[in-house]
Amino acid sequence: MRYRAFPAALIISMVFALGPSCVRAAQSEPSPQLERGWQLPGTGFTLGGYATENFTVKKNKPWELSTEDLSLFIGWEGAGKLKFFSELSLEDALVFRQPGKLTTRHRSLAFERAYFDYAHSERLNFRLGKFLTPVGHWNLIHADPLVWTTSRPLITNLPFPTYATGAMIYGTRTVLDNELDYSLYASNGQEIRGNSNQDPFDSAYGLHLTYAMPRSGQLGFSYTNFTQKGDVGNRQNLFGIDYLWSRDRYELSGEAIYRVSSRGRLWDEKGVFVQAVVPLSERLYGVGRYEYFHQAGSLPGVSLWVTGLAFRITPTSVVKAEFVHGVNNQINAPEGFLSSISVLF
Amino acid sequence: MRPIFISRVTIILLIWWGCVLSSWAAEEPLAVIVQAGQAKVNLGRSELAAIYRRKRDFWENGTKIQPVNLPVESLARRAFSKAILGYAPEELEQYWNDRYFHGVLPPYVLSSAEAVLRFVAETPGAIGYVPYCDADKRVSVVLVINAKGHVSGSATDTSCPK
Repeated sequence: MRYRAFPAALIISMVFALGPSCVRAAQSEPSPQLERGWQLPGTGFTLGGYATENFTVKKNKPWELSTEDLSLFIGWEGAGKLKFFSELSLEDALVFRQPGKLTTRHRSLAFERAYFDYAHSERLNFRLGKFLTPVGHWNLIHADPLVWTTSRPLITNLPFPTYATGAMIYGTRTVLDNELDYSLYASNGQEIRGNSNQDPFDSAYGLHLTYAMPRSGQLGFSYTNFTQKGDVGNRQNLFGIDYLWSRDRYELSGEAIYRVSSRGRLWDEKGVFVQAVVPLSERLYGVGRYEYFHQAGSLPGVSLWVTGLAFRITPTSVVKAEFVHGVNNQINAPEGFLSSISVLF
Repeated sequence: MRPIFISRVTIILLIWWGCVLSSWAAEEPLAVIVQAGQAKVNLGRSELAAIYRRKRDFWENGTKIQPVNLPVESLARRAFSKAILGYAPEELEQYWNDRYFHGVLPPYVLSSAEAVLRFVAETPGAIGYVPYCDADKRVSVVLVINAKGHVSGSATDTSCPK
């Protein structure tokens, strides 16, 4: 039974993951055409999204095949300065577990993002709604087709809620002939269909800066002051830096975070990751990553070593496979073999 | 021996064809064009880059900027991309994936220089680029990108066949 279940699971899950891109490929392209997304003619609406299918054999756990993410983007942009963007995400829609059990009970539907933007100029834009918390680089581009590994560095989502609902001012300014992107934001804890697996902000404000240096990469700085609904009395200050360099298909990136708690040093969190990507052939890349994370509490910090491959089928679809090895992993961070296929459409 | 001869001929032909293509691309400047009669446009390389990276969306008079690209395989597109954005089109795929994730779409792609001319001529706020000698009365040339990627207001040493 379990041997029959696996191919069936694979086929059904592949349909979930790749179906939207096949539909898109079958449609005739309008002229002028977009390189991404599907525009509804004459309406200003654009539809798109991404899908991810995971196959994992985690340490001390049975294998699992899951439709990890099925996200739908709905964007609207008229001739004026107002535009809208939203992302509706269906997570863990279909999960197969050894020995051949299919379940949909882990599924969750959430508005990952939903916001209006008003563009006063490229220097000054206003955003209202639910958006990704601008901490580091990874969280802002966390969709599976955009990152190099199936696993996510712990410091990019554990020390802070990855979404915020509130207001933001952002823009681009020129400083010393280079672009400086900035965003300032605040949240009073309101939620738009929250994500059940997160303890959201109770209140927050912060800023994120990214300075782009041609040939030398981009350097970012993050600061957030926040409390979370699960522990309103614990006010936290989070400081972060991030760096990204890419040239000739090589890439080097890293982030570091230090979160200071008003409850004392035992509640502080800190961590770092460094990741390198090397092209091995026209479409195949080798990926290596080291990360360290010290969670609040008395447990020692965990180190994770990630070695993997990523095969870019097209610029918007990728197959990834990696091994994760942990040292002092007392917080049960995922270890073992992780793989995925993901498509941006 | 014969297969070796054929492969040498093939290699020589490929090199020759590569030289033809690169010399074609190297000789003719590109004209950056807007609709004829459009209000005065102040553009330099950095402003043009901001437009084509979709960081700047509005002209000074509030009209929405509608940038258009030629297809990725076009030599003009490659020359424009390297000169203005600093990267070949395929090197920008990750950038556009990231931006698309935030709801920002890359510029429209049109299939030919004539399509760009027609679109720019008929669309207020549009901007595009074509080989210099393809630009005609339907559009205004606001910048010229020469073979070395230098940006200037006009092409002083380029003559076009009539």
